[in-house]
Amino acid sequence: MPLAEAVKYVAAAYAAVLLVLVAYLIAAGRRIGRLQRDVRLLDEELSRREGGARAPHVG
Amino acid sequence: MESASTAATKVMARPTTPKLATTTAILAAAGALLTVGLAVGFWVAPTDASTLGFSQKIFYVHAPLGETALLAFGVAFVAALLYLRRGDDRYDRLGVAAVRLGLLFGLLVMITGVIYDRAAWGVWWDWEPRLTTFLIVCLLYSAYFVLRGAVEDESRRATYAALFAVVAFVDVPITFFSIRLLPAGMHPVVIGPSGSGMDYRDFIAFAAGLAGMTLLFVGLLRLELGIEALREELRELKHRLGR
Repeated sequence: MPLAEAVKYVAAAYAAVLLVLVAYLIAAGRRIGRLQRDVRLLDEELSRREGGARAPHVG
Repeated sequence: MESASTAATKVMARPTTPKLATTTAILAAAGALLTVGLAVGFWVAPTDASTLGFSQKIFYVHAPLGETALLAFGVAFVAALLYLRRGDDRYDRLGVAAVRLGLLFGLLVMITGVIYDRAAWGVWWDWEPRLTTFLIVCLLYSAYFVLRGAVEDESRRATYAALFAVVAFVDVPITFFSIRLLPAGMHPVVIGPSGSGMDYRDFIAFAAGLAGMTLLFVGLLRLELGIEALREELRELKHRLGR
């Protein structure tokens, strides 16, 4: 196979691997960010709810 | 001062999140090994003298990806067996993470494989044993997530998924041994009973690539387990909030 043609196949293969891995890492980063935000929000809501329930007994 | 909910949540058995620093170190080591493997493959190893020529360089990423995909499905198989035996949710999470990564690596194997096929055999696809059985593996494990999505009850979902992962794994050794047992295929055997037959420089590039890809899998597995731990935490919080 001529070198110029072979280089195209090799470049395509490695570029595809790089692109898919980068896309996966970006998607994973977004998933982590979204989950952390949701956990924080629910944790705060739970905190408020439990704090509110205990409030009358505090004073 | 920590909130009551935070303290209460800490008391409960929570899934542990793998340390990010360790995961980052593993991923960095994987990147270094992969770089060394490719550097040896491209600049030290000789260019293939057969019809493949320079396109043989795809091998240094394609073969390690394939081995790692099968390793990921192997991890999912062991996790499934452990879940079925012990009923511990940690093994269910490990199974999900391993199958997800197996599919990621499997997708990359298919992409690099069709490009390699085109360069080596002049066709994008051939229904020969290795390609066909590997495609079946990927389709089977894709169905794993369809199954999980179809079952609402968490315990039943985990049990069904584990059973499915055990059954689906049957195709993994078939894929691995297909080129050794079925001589009709065009796919070459990388390491057979009499060794690899590779030039030592080729072998170093392959071995470094395989070690790097395995470490990449371990790093990404820790990342996925962290995501699954966060999901579990979210489910627990929703449950406590009555949602």
